[in-house]
Amino acid sequence: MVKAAKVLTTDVLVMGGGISGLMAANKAIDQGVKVLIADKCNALWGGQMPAAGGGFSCMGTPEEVDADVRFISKEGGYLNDQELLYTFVRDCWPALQEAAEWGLPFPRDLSGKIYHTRPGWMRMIDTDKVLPTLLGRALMKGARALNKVYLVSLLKQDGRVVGAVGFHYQTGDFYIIQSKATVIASGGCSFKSGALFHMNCGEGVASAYHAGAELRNAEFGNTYRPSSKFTQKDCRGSAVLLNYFENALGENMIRKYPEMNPLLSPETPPWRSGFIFKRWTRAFYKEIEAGRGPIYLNLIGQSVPEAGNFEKPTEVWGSSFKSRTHGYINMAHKAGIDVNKEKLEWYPVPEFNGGPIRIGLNCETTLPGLYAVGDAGQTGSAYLGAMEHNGMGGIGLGYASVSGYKGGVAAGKAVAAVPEPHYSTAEVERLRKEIYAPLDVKDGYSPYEAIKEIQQVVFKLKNSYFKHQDRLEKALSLIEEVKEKLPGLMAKDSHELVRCHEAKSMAFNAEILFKASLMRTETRGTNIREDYPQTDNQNWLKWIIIKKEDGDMQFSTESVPIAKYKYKP
Amino acid sequence: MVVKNINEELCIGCKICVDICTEDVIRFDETRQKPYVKYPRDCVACTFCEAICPVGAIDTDLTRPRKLPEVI
Repeated sequence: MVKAAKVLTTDVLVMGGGISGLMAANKAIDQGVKVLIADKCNALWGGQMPAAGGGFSCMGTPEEVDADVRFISKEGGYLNDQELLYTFVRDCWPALQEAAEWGLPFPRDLSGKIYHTRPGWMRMIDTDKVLPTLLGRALMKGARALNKVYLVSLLKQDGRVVGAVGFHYQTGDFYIIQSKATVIASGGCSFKSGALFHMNCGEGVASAYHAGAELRNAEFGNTYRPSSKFTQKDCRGSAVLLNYFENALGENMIRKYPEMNPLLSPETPPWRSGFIFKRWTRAFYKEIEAGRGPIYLNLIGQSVPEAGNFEKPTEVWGSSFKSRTHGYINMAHKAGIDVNKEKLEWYPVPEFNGGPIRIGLNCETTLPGLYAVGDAGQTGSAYLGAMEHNGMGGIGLGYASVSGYKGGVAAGKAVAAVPEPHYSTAEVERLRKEIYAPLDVKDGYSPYEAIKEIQQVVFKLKNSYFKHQDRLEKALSLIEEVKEKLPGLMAKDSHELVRCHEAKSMAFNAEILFKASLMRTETRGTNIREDYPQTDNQNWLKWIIIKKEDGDMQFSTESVPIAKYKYKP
Repeated sequence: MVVKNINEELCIGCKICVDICTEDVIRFDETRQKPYVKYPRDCVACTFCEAICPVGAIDTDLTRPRKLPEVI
């Protein structure tokens, strides 16, 4: 099938129109360069921002910066890049104050000061205004944006990234975009684990790897968080329902596992409530494994306000829209369920969104011309070390904002010194054939089947969270089986072609998760190895680096330069 | 299917639901100038279409979510 090719040229290409991509687009355009944003879905409510509760963390005064670096380094098992962590936390608050002037809806007191009520943390109101505000500003300043353009592969010339190729979700048209700097802002890989975690399939990570960029900390990309089974949505803000969880025997979970309660631990102050999700996951798993599952949220006989403020939009979802469409009680109501009469099953839902693209202080990857912002490089930046990427409430938005800001500035400034990009026609033709290949396959491998097979392996807590060599090897062999079938993927139209490339990307992201987890023979942060329960600072104060060399996936380690860091184990 | 109904009498044909649909479930019928559900199996019940429709023409059904693989 030959499709029309659209060739576009820009200075800065931003792949992904979520909060980090739009921050990057805004800051790049402020450097006086041409900016093009392309999003597989849409740049109006793209990425994870629509799922966010509106909390921003790790942004504060200089004293608070140091407190955050100390806390995160400890929780991150000292596998953090402390220099990057310090710089990002320090620069977050000024970046957000500038974004507030663009119209981001931070609440202000009557003197005009943004409320900043707790150290390093604040909550935004009306979070659904954030992306339209950022997109609107970028467009008004002359940026261009493409919706439903799915960029699959990066273009390279003389070792530099010079753009990307892909196709249109609806029309199937081929897109060739030439750029002097390319910013990956397409998130990590959530393996289509539920509504609002279905878009980001790790394509940016896969394309960066295939172009030759280094990946780091891939073994820590695995996170789960509690969700009700019927909504399949990550009910953010669900910490407020803490008192009402019980096991199948009716035993109250918080009384059985007091560590689930962030209020009880001085190490986990309330605004760091996201931090407790790993404790929830462990407690839920323990009960279910012991035959006392499933876990229910029992609101029978509770009044709605007591049942966790789910009707108070700014408390839970940061916006009235989200309360209506994503609030637990409202969703239940719409589904015909009365939560005051029926207890509902909850379980740990895979989130898996930390992307392992390795970046430096200006969000530059190890490949010239390529940057990564937001979740695509959050794990790889070693900002959080071994800590789960959703480890603290508000960390996602804080990191996405500051990395987008810094990456946008760096990419925008860099283009002045870069010659006009040129791509090789032969390479583009090769990629075009590869991209459209599934359209020519009849009676092949369904991408829906492939995605399901990958999910069946990756979703399992016993494969991805509670790890053991035997199970990791088995999981890896199942993923290898899927990979062998991938050349037979079939698509009947451009819509299914998107699913095919998502499946390929998901298989890649599963492979690096399991391989890096196998390599790290210790327990640290979210790499919980049941066969190696100890943290091994002697041998494993190291990062695992993944790189494609001569077509093969190469693994190596690099010692964390802990001697030059302030905080040590 | 979770997009239960698109009320064509209310629909003004602005296409915002087509643009906002993250999974390309909704397409636009150019002849009739109305959106329709083309890929129901891909709907993940994000409900963005219902939330953003300026005239409230879209109704989603949350009673039958997709079955996802088990985690335990």
